[in-house]
Amino acid sequence: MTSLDLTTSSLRQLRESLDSKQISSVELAQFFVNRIKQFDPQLNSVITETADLALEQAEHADRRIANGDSSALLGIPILHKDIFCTKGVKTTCASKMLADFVSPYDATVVSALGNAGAITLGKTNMDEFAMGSSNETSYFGAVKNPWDLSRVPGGSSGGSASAVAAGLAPCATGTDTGGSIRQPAALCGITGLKPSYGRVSRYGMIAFASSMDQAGPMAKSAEDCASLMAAMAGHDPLDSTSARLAVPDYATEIQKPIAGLRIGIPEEIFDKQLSPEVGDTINAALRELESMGAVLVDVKLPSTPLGVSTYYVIAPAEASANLARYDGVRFGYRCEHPENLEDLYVRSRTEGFGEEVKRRILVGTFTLSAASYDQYFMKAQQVRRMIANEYDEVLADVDVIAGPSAPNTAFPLNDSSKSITDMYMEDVFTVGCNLAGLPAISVPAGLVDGLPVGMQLIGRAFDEATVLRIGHQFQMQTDWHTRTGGIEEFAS
Amino acid sequence: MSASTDVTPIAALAKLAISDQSYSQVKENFESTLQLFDELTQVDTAGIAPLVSPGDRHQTLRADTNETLVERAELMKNAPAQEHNYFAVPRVID
Amino acid sequence: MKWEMVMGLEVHLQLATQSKIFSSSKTAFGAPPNEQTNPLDVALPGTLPVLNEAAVRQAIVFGLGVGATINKVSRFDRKNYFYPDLPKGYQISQFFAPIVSDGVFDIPLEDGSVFPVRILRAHLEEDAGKSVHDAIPNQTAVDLNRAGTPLLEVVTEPDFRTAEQVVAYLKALHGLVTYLGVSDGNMAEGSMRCDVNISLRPAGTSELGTRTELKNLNSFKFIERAIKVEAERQQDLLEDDKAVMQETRLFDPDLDETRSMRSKEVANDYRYFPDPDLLPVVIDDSVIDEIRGQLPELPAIKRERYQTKLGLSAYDASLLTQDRASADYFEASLEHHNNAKALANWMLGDLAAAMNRDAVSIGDVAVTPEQLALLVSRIDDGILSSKMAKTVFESLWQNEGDVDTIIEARGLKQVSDTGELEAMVDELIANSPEQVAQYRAAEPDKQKKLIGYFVGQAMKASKGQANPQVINEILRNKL
Repeated sequence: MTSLDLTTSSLRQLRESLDSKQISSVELAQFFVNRIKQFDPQLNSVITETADLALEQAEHADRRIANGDSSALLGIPILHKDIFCTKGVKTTCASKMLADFVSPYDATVVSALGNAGAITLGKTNMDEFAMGSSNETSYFGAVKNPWDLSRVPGGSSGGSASAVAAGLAPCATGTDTGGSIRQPAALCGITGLKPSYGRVSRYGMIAFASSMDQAGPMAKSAEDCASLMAAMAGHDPLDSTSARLAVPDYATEIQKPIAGLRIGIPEEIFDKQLSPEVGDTINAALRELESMGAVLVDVKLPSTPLGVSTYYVIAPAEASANLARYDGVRFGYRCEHPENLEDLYVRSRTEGFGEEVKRRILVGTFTLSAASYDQYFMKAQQVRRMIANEYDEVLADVDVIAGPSAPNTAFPLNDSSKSITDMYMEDVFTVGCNLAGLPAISVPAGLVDGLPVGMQLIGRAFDEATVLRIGHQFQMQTDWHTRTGGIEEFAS
Repeated sequence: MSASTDVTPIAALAKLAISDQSYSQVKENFESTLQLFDELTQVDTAGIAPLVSPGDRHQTLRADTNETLVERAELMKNAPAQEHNYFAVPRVID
Repeated sequence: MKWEMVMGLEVHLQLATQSKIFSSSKTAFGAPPNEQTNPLDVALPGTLPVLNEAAVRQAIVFGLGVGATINKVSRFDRKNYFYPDLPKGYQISQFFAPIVSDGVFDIPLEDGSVFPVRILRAHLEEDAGKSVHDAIPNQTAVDLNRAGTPLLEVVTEPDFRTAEQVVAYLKALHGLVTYLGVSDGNMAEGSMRCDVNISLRPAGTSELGTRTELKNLNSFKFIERAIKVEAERQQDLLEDDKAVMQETRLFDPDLDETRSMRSKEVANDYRYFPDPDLLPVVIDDSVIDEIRGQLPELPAIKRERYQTKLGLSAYDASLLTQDRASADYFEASLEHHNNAKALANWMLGDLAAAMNRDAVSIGDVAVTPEQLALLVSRIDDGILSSKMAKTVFESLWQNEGDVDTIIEARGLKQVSDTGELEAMVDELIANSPEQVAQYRAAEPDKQKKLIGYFVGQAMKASKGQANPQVINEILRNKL
């Protein structure tokens, strides 16, 4: 098998290669370990490589395979976003605050994938504490987009997106609070799914905004994402917000044709925020879906313009409390020679957190304060319900809502023309379903000036099956998801 | 409609320090974010219940049993300062 | 100007559960530092709370015990502040929607009257860890064993006017929670902590004055002192036309004064907001009914029953029902012998004295309820004189066996056999001719006194085992 084959193989193809003994799990793991070593310096997508662990797990996988075990993910290498606690391995959340933190326990997502036989290659770079849309706020430096190294991969799961797009790993985990799986997936030309809130356990996933955070798969296809979801989804008694709902057989569901499915197109999407070229690309993708028998329906989501502000009130507020535990007392960064307790707290936190994190903590602390609570926080929670109700009403009539995942393609690194609030507007298409707790997938839908564009499909609560199905069927008809503009440069 | 806000007491609540040099930039950034919220604060939400967690689910209860998920030594391994199995901080006077 | 004290109480009760409120760590008192912790208790990144069903049950049990409303939907909120013993940087509590509200707790006072205290609310929250100041030189040591222990915070309306009422409430509360098995209610060990909110107002007015919150009150004595000195302090201020500042004050027993808490002086905006990691707690009617059906008889009901059905005084009923163990002991003894008054007297007399003397609690006494019942029953049968019974009791207390074996072994059986006693009296009369003559010559009322000599002699001769009533009768006949 050529290395191009391996870097472009889907999970199913890798499974077949493993089962037919064309390659062993150890060889496969070694292959990707080497790719990371060789090419990641150009991308900076990996914070911690876990080669020894990977090989150990791969040996174990080979024994299982030899015994006839052919579980879907057995022996499949994976990268975990460095927001997931991994036992015995550094878990930094891309922050100075946790730069040396070694977790004593595994996140449920990590142990679930591990039990399914996945091989941990390492921990990917991300925006610090998941706060960002370009992976430029990381303590460990910015991540580059393999399609164009002068551009951002998106964020906050930029490392995972970049690595998968560049073929450094066949798949990765990400997290999505306001678009952090979908937007980088779109900018890097891969597929990423944000599951419904409560579909995947948050235990062991370092908290940013507790009522919106969700872990999800990032891979080269919807089918691969479905494979990962089979292991990731399910109730976890350690997470009170985890739903007690059976996990559908995604692999079977996605095979169903989509003729007759109703796809809602919100009129609010095609506004000044969206670049015309991206708009055209999405329209072409929608017509493709129509040619497959889907019915396009015009819908209205009038609260769409309020999404970003609602999100940026609630998420930083929850984060300001979630990040209070980083105080230099029990773990994490502690300033040198603290004079007293106050000094310990203030200097550890001021020195340990990056600027964007501090900005959001400040805003969050403000909106929760006594004088502001009703006007900002409670108001935002009320508007959140309005937005959620709107989605529910629309999704009672259509099966999914479609649109672009991001307003533009990958923008340049260090783009000084982008203000802080400009950066927040990157999330305009993605925050809605985090607020409403709905599942959404981003699939590659085209190229604009050689850069990937992602189409987003939002489904009903716990109907990942339908968005994965439309994504998969779309990918059976089109080949945008196979474009390897991110890989050619790195193929050996 | 963002009145000028003194961010120092907010930073103090969050145990963050703002240096004199960066104060004006921090304040500017803070206020521009607040401006983003202007439209939101004007929305008529009369009679709408706040949404805390999507999905309308209820709290499940855990059985009252004991389990040690991680041993003490492991739990304290990342402590910046510890002695005799206590976490150590500069002396606090009540 | 006459001033009236107005007080409300906030009592934190550590609930008697096996595991913590949000983690499965142990809750036992006194473990080595940080031994009873899990990732959540240390607030490691990524950890999440899951609610303990026993904590919810205990809250419902308590609520039913004070006739309160059990709120079918309640929620948890975050109370945000920084302190080393608060690992998450916030405490999970119930601010907006507590699990229990609007109860009334009737407190028996020493004079026999009943004082109703309105329970505004009771809510669940987690305890903080402990800061220890002498374990590491020049540092503060943090032990998180206690962090996450379930607490029920019980808040009253400002119904208290005297320190006596406050202490009576706390005693009754202790009794109630031990009855219900909800908490140890142990002030010394910290499983019951009391804060007093106190303000003054001119007597006869209805508007509330500015209140201060008193903390660090870990005994009834301290509470009484603290209330007194704080009331005096506030009175001095008000009479000087100065304002009382709303603040938290610590009672210093050594200096016999209250002082402002430095760390709480800085205005703390707790920024309460609903905890997104926990979902609304929804309690079904069937659960409440099931718990109600399993409640033990409440102290107030017992007291009533002891008075009306068993004929005990209000005071005795009150003492016997002060805690579950005492009431259980009493009722167990009653099952074996139904002289309630006598049993009550023994329990509140000799048994209580011995317990006090040897510092033994009712749960650890060597005298079982059956044995105490048997003791009383032997007295009622005439087999034991009251005096001998006390001797038998001491032997029981020293674990020397059971009632009958002791009576046998020590030969303490009261002699009531008239034949034997007549013979003894005859001998006595024969040996005391002067006293006999004196008696026969005396007036009837003086005779009553003189007969005492003979009774005394007879008791001496019989080594206390003669039945004094029988002796008395025989003497009267013979003299």
